[in-house]
Amino acid sequence: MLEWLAGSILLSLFNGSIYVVVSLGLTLTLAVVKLPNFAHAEFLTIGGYVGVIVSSAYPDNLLVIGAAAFLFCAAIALAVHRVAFKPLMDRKVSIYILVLASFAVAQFIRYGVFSWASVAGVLSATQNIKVYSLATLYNTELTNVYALAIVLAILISVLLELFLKLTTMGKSMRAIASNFDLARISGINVPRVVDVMWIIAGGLGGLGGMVFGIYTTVTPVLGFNTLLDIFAVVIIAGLTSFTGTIIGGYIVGFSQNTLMDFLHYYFDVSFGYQPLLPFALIIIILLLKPTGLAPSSQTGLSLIRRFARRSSSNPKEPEPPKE
Amino acid sequence: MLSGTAVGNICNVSAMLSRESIALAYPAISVSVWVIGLAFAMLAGGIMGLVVSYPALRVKEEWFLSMILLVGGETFRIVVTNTPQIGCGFNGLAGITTPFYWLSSYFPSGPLQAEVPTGLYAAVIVALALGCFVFAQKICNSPYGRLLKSIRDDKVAAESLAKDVSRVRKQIMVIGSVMAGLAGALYVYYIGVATPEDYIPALTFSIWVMMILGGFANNRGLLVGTFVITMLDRGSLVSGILLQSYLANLNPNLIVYGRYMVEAVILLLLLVFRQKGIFPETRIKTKAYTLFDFKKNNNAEPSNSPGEGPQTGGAASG
Repeated sequence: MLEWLAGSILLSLFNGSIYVVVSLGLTLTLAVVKLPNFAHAEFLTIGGYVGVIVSSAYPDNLLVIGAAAFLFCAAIALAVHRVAFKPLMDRKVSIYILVLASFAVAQFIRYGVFSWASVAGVLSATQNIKVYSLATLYNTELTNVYALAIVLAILISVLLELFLKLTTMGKSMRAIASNFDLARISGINVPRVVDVMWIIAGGLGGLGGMVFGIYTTVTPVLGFNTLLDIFAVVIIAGLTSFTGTIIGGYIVGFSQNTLMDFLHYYFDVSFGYQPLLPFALIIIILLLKPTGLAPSSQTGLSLIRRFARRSSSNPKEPEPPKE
Repeated sequence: MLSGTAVGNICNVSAMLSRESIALAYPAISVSVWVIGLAFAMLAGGIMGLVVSYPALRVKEEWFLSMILLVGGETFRIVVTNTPQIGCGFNGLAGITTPFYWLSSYFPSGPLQAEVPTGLYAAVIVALALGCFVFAQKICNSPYGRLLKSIRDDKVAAESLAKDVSRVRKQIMVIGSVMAGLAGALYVYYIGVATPEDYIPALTFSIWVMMILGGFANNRGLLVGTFVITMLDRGSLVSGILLQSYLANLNPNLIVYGRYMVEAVILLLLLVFRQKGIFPETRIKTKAYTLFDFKKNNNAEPSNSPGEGPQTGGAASG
């Protein structure tokens, strides 16, 4: 029974890991510069295409390909910040204007990639990276791509956590996130920290796109198709919580694969409706808790405590505190 | 076609041809179906607006609203694409003729055969667009329009004056969605095919650019913005065809993609350098404003005028 389950769980873990890597960059953007960057998913596309180009020169050299994807997307992110977002942020425009600008940037990048891919004849391309099986569990092959994504997600999460907690740059980043004016008064070089933030955010997007591009065909809409999934992740995370992002990434990954398979095999739901599941998550989360799940919390534990507090202080059903 | 047989033969080619022959033979049916279609499109648009407004107006942060609306649009597109019962799925419904298609039987040959029904229909569209414009102007220059602007500028202040903010926002979303439904129905009858893949977010983006180019909350500016962006769209198509005769190696896709990129650049430049658009938002022309004509007498503040004071005072903000 359930011969699809093992493969489905593995795919969920893979997808969730990609979402974690990509969404951590978006969470960083949301935390430090308070910008819901709708162009963030385009870094995924660019990363995928960098993988296509570099892997043709250095086949199977994951280190070189990953570094190239990271650096190129970091450069693009920095350029986008300098050209589009910084002039707007310096004028203290409303968040509505920033959202519009990020849509414009996304559109520009997407159709720029479209133009280039159309001329180069790579509207649908694959990376020259060999996919082979590492082990077989319950008739499911654990390929190197799955392993790479999962290891990368863990590695990136740990490294980002260490970076934010231990280095001066990471601490300044957190200071800016919690209070912009206070951070500036304390002598933090805000423009430099924000530049570093964009480098990390763009680079993580590109890295995630490159790993995703090994698994799937790279097209110019690769990023756009995952845009709302990534936003579902950060909304589950409450926009600025890194632990929440890791949990949210796997929630969205499992809902898109394991839950979808379940619905398909037991309720005969077509796979075409798969993108609707993250949408449903977005709507449900925003309806139940319109500000997002945990806007100020930094750890998953405080998120749980918050829910416990909410449910125990519900005015409709007064419950005695469990002690 | 698998979807066609499963649904009951409204999607296949013979159904398309029979639709066209019916439209050619029965003028009354053709026009009345069009009218009913428009009515249902407006109704459906209004219902969609109402459904989407439920979550969209309950979110707290401003940009969640745009995301909810993006989610709503994409949900609708995915549902229509994957449910052949609604609109023949991915391939869409073809063979939708203009309501004046039967006129072509009066012109046996020549270019008029195709041009007269289309031209007449285009005139009808222009007339309806004008009607929508007048309606929007009426709304903007009415007490209701001033209420809308007050909610936009300061929601809390409007609420403190006992205005039902969420109800008004819902109403205006329904009104906007009804207009959008009307536009969609008119468009489908014009191009003759309804597929979900035509209504990608890039279309919404074009509409934003039109709106911001003309100027926020400014109907006349919107006309200019629409004109400019439509010219860009049509111009890119025409220039693409013209350029292809000179440059054999030109990739025709580049023109389409280039158009979207130009729109994005226009929007970015506008946001950075001229957020108010070509025509900044102006005063609302209330009765008192037109009566006393404050342009001649700059010292007189609208709020000093007797009788209509509070209304014009609120209108001057902007």
